[in-house]
Amino acid sequence: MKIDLNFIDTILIGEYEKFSLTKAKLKEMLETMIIIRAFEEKVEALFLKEGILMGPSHLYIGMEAIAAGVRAFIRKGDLIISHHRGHGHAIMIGTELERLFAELLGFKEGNMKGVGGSMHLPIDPERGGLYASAIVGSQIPIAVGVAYAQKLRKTGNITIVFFGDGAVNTGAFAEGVVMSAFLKVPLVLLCENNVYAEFTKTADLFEDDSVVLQRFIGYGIPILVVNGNDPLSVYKGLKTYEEELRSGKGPIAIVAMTYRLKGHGVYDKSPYKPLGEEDLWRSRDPIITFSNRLINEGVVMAGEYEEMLKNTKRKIDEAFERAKRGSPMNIEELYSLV
Amino acid sequence: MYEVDDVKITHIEACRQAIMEEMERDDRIIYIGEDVCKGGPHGFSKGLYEKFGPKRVIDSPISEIGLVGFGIGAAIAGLKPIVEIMYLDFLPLAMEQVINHMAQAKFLSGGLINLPVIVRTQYSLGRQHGPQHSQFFPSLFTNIPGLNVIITSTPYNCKGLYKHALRQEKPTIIIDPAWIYYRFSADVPSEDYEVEFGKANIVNEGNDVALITFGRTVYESIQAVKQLQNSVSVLLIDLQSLRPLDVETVVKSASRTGRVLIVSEEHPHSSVAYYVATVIYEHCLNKLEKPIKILTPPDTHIPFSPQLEKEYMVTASKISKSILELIKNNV
Repeated sequence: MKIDLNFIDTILIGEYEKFSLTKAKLKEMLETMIIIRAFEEKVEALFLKEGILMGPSHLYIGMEAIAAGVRAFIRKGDLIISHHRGHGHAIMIGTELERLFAELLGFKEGNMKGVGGSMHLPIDPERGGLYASAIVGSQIPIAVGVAYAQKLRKTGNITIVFFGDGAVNTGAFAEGVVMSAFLKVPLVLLCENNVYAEFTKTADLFEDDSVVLQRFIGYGIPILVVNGNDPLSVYKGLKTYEEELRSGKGPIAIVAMTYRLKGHGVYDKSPYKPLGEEDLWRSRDPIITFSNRLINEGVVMAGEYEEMLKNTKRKIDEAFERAKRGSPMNIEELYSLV
Repeated sequence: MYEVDDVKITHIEACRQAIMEEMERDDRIIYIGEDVCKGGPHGFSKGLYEKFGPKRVIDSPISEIGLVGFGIGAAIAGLKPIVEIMYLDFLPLAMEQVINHMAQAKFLSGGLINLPVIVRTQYSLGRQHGPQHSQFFPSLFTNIPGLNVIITSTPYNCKGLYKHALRQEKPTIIIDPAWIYYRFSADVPSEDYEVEFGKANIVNEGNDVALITFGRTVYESIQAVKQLQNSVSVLLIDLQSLRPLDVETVVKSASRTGRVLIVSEEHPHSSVAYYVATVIYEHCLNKLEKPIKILTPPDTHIPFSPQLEKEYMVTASKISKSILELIKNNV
C-alpha cells in the first residue's frame, strides 16, 4: 500500500483565478473569520464577565481559518458533521446568530430548542449541519453513514467531518476511518489539529510531533497536511481533491495544523501551556495574518476592515439582546423528543 | 386460526421474509453486518445479497462501533439501515453509539433529527456458546429513553415486528432468541401484516395465573401451559415489546388472575422481569392474592458445560413447577 501524503501551501495571488477565487469570495472568507471570533469573544464575556451562560463551552478562537476555508469550498447539498468545539462550524453554515445565542441560553428559540446546547451547536439540517457529537471521536463513524447515503444518491455531494487531534486516539476514529475507506464514501476526514487534547499535548503523550499524522497511515486514503491558520491553504487542499471526492473515488484525510488560543473549556486558563507558546501562535493569528494579506493585495481597504470589525461586533451584540428575550420550553414537551 | 394458504415456516425464515418483503417495498432499506452477504453464521441474511446487490447488502469489517455509527449516520441522512450485530454479546462494543447517539440524536437536536435505524441481533443461550456468546441483557437498553427494545419469540410475531420496525421512524433494537430459529415452526399468514410496538400478545387465555414472559421462554411457557392444561388455566402474556411496555395489558392480566408468574432468562438483578413486577405492585397491589413469583436463571454468568447450561436455563418443567407453587396453598 503506497502512502499518499501531500503538504499543501497557500494560494498565491496569481493563482486566484485558477482556484475560482473572486474578491467577493476572499472577502467572505475574512468575514466568516471575523464573525466567528466576535461571537466567541462575546460568549467568553457572557461566561466570565457577566455570568449569564452556564455549563461547558469550547471556544473556536484561533481556528477560524479552517471554517472559512471549508465555507468557501462547500456547495448546496454538502453536509457537515461536527463536535463539541463547533461554534465556528455553526456560524460557517449560516445558522442565525440570534438562534445560536438562544441555544446557548437554553431557550426554546434556539436552533435545538435549548435541549442540545453548546456542544451540539452546528445541528441545522436545512443548512447542511447534520450532527454534532459531544463525545470525542464518535461523530466519525456516523459521518461515514451520512456520506454513504450521498454516495447512493449520486448527487456529487460530499460530507465533511470535523474532529480534533484528541480524537485520533479513539476506537471510533479507527473504526470510522476503516468503514470510510472500504465503502469509498465521499467524505473529508478533517482533523483540526490544535495541539491540545483537553489539557494534554497529543504529541507529548507519544513523545513524537508526527503522531497525529501517523494515525491516518494504513488505511490507503490520501492524506493532506494544510496550514490550518490560512483559509487559502485549507481551501486549496479541498479543491485539489475535489474531482476525486465528488466523483466517488473515496475519502480523503486533511490534517489542518492550527492552535487553540484559549483553554479547553471557557473557564480553563491553560496553566499547562509552556511560556511563550501562546504568544508565538498569537503572532500567527489567522485573522490578523489574512486581513494584512488582503489589505496588502488591495482586496480589502484598511478602513473597510475596521468597519467590518465594528459592524460585526454590533450585529453580535444586537443578536444577543434579541435572544435574551426568549424562554425555556415546557418540561412536558421533552416527552415529544424521545 | 389462519387461512388455508398459510404455510408452516421456521422462525428464521419468517424474519427473513419480513426483511425481504420490506426491502422490496422500500429502497431506502439497506442491510449491513459482518458476513451478511454470505448469509451469516445462522443463515439469517441468506439470499439478501443475491436479491438486492452490493449497494444495499454490505459485508462489514469487524468494527462494531463503525457499524452502529454507520447505521445512525445513514438513518440521519434519510436511509433506513438495518445493522446486524452477530451476537448480542458484541453490541456492548458499540454501547457508546447506542446510548449517546442512537437514543439521543432526536432529543439533543430538539426534534430536528429522525433516525429510523434498526440494530438487530440474537442471543444464543442454549446453544453451548459459552459465557461470551450466550448472554441476554435487554435491560441494558430498556433503561434508556428513546429506544424501542423488541424481543421476537414466534414465527408470527417476528415477521410482524420486523415489518413494523421498518415502517416506523424510531431507533429500534430487535433481539431474536437464536435457539428457536430452526426449532419453532408455525403458520404465518401469507397476506401482509404488522405487529405493533407497545402491545403485548395474549398467547393463551386463562384465569388462574398470569404468566408474563418474553423471548426464548415464550416457547418453554407454551409447553408448560400445555402440560398443565387440564389442571390450571394460565393466562400467557408475551411482552414482545419491552420498551415501549404494554403496561395496560400487564396490569389488567395481573388484576384479573391475582396471581402472577414472571419468567425471564435475564440476569435477575435490575432486570426487565423485576421492573415489570414493580409496575404491577405500583398499579394493582390490592388485586394480588399472593406475592409475584419471578423465575429467572441463577444470578451468575452462563456456563459452557452443556449439562450445566441446561440446568442454568429456564425450562418448561421449571415453569410448570412455579405455576403449581402459585396455585398451591390456595387462600
